[in-house]
Amino acid sequence: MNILKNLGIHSKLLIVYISITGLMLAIAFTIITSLNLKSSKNNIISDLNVVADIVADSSVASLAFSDFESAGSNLSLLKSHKSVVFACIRTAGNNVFAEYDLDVKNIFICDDFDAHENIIILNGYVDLFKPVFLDGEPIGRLQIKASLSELTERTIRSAQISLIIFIGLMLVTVLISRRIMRFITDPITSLKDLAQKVSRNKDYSLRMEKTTDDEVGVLIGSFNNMLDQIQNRDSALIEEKEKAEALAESAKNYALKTEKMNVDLENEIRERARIEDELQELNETLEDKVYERTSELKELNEKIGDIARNAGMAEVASGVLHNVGNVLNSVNVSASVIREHVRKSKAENLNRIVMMLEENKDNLAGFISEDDKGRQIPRFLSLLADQLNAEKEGLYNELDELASNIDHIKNVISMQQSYAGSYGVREKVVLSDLVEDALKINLQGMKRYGIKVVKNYNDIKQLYVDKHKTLQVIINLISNAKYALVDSANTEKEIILNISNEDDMARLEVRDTGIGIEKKDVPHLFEYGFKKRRGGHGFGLHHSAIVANELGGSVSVKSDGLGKGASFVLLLPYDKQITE
Amino acid sequence: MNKLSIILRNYFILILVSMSWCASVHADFNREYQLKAAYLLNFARFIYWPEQVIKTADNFNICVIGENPFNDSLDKLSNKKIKNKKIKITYSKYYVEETQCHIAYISKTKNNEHKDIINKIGNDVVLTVSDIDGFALDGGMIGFVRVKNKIKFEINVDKSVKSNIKYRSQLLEVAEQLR
Repeated sequence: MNILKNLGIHSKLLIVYISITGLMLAIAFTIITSLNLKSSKNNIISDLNVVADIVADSSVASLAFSDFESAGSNLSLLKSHKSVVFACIRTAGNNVFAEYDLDVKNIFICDDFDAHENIIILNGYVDLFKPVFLDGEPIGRLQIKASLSELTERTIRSAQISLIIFIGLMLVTVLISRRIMRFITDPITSLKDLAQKVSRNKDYSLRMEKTTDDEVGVLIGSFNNMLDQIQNRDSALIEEKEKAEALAESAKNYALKTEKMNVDLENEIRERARIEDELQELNETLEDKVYERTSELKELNEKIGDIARNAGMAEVASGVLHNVGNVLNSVNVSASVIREHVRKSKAENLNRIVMMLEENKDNLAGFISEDDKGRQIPRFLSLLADQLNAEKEGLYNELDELASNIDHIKNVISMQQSYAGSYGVREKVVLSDLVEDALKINLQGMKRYGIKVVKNYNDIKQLYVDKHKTLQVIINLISNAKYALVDSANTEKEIILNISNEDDMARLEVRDTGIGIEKKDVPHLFEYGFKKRRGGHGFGLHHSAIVANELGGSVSVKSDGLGKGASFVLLLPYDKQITE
Repeated sequence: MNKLSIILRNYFILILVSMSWCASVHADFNREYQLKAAYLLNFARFIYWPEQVIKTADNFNICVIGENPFNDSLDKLSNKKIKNKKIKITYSKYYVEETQCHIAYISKTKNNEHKDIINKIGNDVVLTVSDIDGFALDGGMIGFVRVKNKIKFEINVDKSVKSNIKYRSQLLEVAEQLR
């Protein structure tokens, strides 16, 4: 079985074909031979029966009249039947009446009468027993013994022929099978050869052509796919190997380097140890130094706080002074206008009239009625009176403006005074009031540059905050918006002020339609010293952010870019106490 | 051993041999007629009897004319049947036509009369059988003969045909001679 297991598929299939065909043919031949044998036997027996009938019939008289010679000669007729080797007749009294022996060797005996057995086949002989009747009465029995050797010979001959046919058929089967099996085994053998070639040469680029769509075709397809995968993996492996080699090389180099580094490191460690010793010495004095530096830093911090606060104050003061300056400018302008008005006053024309009248005071009536110039005086006076009235009106207006500006200065200063000294004190404030104050501080410039203020004040709760700090922030935001609008070429110059609630916080949005902020600048806007505006000092927004933080809120900015305005949002918490 | 005793012994042996010979002769005689009785029956079986003859008879009659040499051998056959007719054996000194014999056995004792009896029977359908020498030649139908110490028979076919008696071929085959 093991031998069969290791045989090639071609041989296995051939063995299977031959085995099955051989078995089938053997069975067929066996059946045919046995049927033939049986048929031959039956023929022999049938022939013997006929012969026995004839002999028995012709032996009736011999038996009836005890004619042994006649009986013997009857039996000797059986000579013509070569298969008959012995025959005998027994009388009804079971005595041997006549015998016939082909070889006269007396090896056969006339069997005793047994009515039950008609045919006995034994040891290559068939014995046929035939009773002899006379008028229906048995008067004896004929026994004929025939050799089956002829049958055996015939059977052997038949078997030999069958065997020759069997071998011939087997050879034909083998030849046909080999031819047919090629269809099955050739692709498999080719596949095997290819697999061996691939295995031997490690050449994964080889492929086998798929010619059929049967199982072998599928096998070839799968094998080719497998080779594809192996080839891919092989390439990947080679690549990985190269990488690994490179890595190994670099690792080797690294190891060498590391070794060198180790040496260096050891040196360094030694050096470090030395330094550590020194450090330890230094460390002992470091604590003192740290303490000293901490104190300095603390002091500095306090100073920075003061600077920031002063900066805020300065911002407010700057705002105030700016406004005052602006107002003073207006005052100055008003004063100049008044002076110009006065300088250009038509009152001097009156002096000329007076002088003319003085010259003609003696003949005043004649002068007015007769002189050309005199005649025009009344009309001139009338016109002059109108002009002077107009001048007076203009002066009044300018003086009103002047008085108003002076009032504004007074207000701003009194407001500054009202915020001064309230630093660090928390109090109840209404956000819109603070915004309005901040607007007032910035109001002057706005009018001049045609800046329109849009107010959307929602009704929100009172805040409990440091009023001064909050105002600083709002002034700063509005001031920035104002400068953004001043620098802008936009014709629509608006500051939009929105007050609303957001997440339990008061929200003030100061939006302008000004120059806007470049996107890249947005993240840096609240950094200390970051300034975009000419004349700015760079810590306004920074300080506003710090202050908003201190107030528990925040300042944020949003801009869509240059020329698209900006929106600053101040969020301030409602104080808990007030909320409650 | 004295002479007397030898004589007595020889005598005794002689007596014994004589006795045995006599017995043997007697036995042979009986045996012969047993056989002949059987032959008579078998002759009847090997003959194609005319239907009319068998139909009209009540029995199949075997007549023994003259002295009976068969003892009871023939009587023993009386339980047999020929053509479905029971065998009836009649013994008589003379041939009696009324007996309607199918087989007439003419005993040796009728050696001088057998021809008369044959003539008397004429062409009647009666099988005439006898062991008288030359019986078949003398117009009898079947005559027993001894050949090589065996009992055989001769058949006078012509006479038989005339009497409308036809034999089966097997019988003719085993006949010693046909006349």
